[in-house]
Amino acid sequence: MTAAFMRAAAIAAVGTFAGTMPSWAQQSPAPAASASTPMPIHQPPPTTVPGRPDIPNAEVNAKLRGVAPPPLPAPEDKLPVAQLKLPKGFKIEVYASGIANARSLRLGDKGTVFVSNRLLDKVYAIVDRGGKRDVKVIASGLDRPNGLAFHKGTLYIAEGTRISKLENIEDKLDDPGKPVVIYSDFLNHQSHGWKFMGLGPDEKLYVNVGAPCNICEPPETNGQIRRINLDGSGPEVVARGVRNSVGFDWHPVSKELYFTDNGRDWLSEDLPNDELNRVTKAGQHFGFPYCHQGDFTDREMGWGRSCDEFQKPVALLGPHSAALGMRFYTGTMFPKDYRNAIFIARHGSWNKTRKIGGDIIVAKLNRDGSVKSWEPFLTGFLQNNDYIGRPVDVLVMKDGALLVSDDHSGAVYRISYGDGRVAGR
Amino acid sequence: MPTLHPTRSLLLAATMVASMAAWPAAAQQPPAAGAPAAAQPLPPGSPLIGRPDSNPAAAKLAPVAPPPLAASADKLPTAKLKVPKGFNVEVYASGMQNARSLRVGDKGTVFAGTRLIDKVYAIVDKDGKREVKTLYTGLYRPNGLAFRNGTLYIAELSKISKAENIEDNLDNPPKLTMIYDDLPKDEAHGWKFIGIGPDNKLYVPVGQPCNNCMPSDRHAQIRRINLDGSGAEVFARGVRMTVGFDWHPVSKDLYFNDNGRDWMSEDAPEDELNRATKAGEHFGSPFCYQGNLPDPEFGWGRSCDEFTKPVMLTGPHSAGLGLRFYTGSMFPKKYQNAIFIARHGSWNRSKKVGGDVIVVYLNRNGTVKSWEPFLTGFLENNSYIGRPVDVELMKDGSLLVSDDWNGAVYRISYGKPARVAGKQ
Repeated sequence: MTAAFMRAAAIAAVGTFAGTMPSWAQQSPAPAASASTPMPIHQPPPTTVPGRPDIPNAEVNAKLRGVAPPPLPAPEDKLPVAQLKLPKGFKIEVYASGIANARSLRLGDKGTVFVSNRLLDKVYAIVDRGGKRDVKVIASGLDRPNGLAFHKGTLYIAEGTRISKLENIEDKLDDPGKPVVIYSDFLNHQSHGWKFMGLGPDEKLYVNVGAPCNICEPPETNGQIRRINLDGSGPEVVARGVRNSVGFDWHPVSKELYFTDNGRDWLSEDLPNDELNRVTKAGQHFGFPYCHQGDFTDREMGWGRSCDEFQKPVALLGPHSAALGMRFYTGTMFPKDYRNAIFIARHGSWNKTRKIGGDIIVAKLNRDGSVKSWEPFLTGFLQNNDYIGRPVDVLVMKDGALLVSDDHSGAVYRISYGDGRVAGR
Repeated sequence: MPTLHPTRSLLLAATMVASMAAWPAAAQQPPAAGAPAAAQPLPPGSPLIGRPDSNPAAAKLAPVAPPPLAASADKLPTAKLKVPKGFNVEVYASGMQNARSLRVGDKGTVFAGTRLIDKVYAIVDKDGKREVKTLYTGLYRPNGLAFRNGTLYIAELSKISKAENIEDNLDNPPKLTMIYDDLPKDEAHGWKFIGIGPDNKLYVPVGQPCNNCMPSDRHAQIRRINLDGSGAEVFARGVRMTVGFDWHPVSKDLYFNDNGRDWMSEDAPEDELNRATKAGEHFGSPFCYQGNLPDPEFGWGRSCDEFTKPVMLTGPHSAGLGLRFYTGSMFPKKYQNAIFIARHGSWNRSKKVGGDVIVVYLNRNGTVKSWEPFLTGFLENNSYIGRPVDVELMKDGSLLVSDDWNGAVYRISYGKPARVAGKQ
């Protein structure tokens, strides 16, 4: 699809919706909060979610509510590091703490680690100074600034309805200025309105545009991964039929895009599974809302459709497990069989009475890019059916260590192998 | 309960009038002329309950009505049917409208039940020429048949009766004696398959009275009773609708088909082949389907691990019905103690599956090794030209297959050109 066509389609779609606007499109843009006023934590009540059955059992109902994080980040000595488990030879430590709602991670050229928010309004920078790490707020008053990308000194921030940039950010962390908007052609919707963003091998910004619902026929502009040039021009659709991807990365060799996609809720405790997908050609359709997990049609939208019309996932990642951030491992610190494997953060389920996820898994690939197997890597966040932490994103550091963000505790952990130590400590 | 779209209610009315002798009388009233269609509720137990609104593809799906009359012998699709190399298929008997469950008597009489009409048939072989007699008429959904020691047992919707010495009185059958009627009268999944177990008891299923609902303690189960109707007990629970079962020739375990729920997906859940190794097991419905899928309504807070899992999945909506273990000696050795299953074929799916007989091979420990199609060709261009309901093993080792679409019974034999006993 050409950029011009895409833009025209987007405009047309917006125009069409002006007449018969669905409720999710009618929300006015988020008010520009001042830097000193944190945005409220919003958890849309699940009772408003389409597709939710009537569950008469109150006890069961209570177990199926969205899981709100604690209101404040945990102090460093309260972080659950001692309860976390890794394969033999690996160890985990706190990299930084006190970062409320720590979400997506990006690494600057000069070693700064940027951390985003979804429920709050801030973007943070973690600066390592001789083994001691400072945490700074570099932007605030933003609207769900979940997506981050970094390229040649510039940090890109994706909010609910716009993408902006901060140039030369690592040289002015104490006075970063105001983000400059480069793209804002998004509908405003609460459901799946936050973004994950990444910089592709084609030097374009990739951003998910989620389905504005649990299950619905999304407008043409949604349920997709889109890419744009670094100046905001030339948007085009890379993948369709994507319910909500909050993590993607490119294969180090084939350069193909792999992305996680979260399956719908309220269909079953055990179905559908979240997906790991692979884009082999721009414009492919991955099934939503017609087909889930590559092998069964949707209860509401799937009649008359076949899963064979769509790209099938390369791996199933567990029902409701909320597979979010993922990265190919390109470092050299970990043993050789982790090279070019994918680390995936599973935030953990809420739409399931016995929770699953809340861990990091590692998926190992075959030479042809298909998935050979996957297994748990970092576990221990889920204790007695409750979270004591929830991984959101992973990041490979220059030394080959792996960072993990935790939006429940407001912390970032560092996983190293062997005698890999925190630089300078 | 979904409200009806005007065009849909027209379709629904048409469907009901055309297809459903199976419907309660109250449900058969077409909407009064000019009545606001949108206000028509679906009758209790309607198979259309749960159909999503405003989906054109879903609106096309409804139970498939058979032709009104049995096909004449020369119109039967025998030439289009496919069996593995070395097998032959031929017409055994025809002209038996809605022929369903099959049972063979000690003296070689083949009995056939019906579901949409009121008859039980007897097929008598006289020197290679087969005569079809209407044995009983005026019965209510006489789908289930069993035979033991000269007595034919007939299961109607809500009662079980018997006819003693039936093979000696085919031209003047005795009045039926009711032996058991402590059964719900629900139409939905109310018709029965019955069989007599190695314990000399009669096994009687009571279906779930709906597509998907919380059944009472009296529903969604297989009961067993003594042959005089006494001593009823629940043998298996969590059974949505079984229309076929048989006992393993060696282990004596009960294997039964169970039809999965509708309106969840084109592709899920699959129908189940289950195995009961003892009395009192629960097979999941309505909490868990296909052993790994908690139900969208009733599965929350439940786990499939609470229930006995199927030994095999037999395809989504494929309607696995009659089944028998093969204990004959005519077929090649690999069929010994394998299970033949008639799949009636799907309706709750845009692209139909089933409409065939499959064969399931077991491991020594009773688990399923593999399965493959055995008799195919009833499904052409997404339409049925026949629908298998039951299978029955003859004394010579040939296999009969009933077809309620055409009102016929076919015979499958192995080896030299099809030979019905006595016909040369």
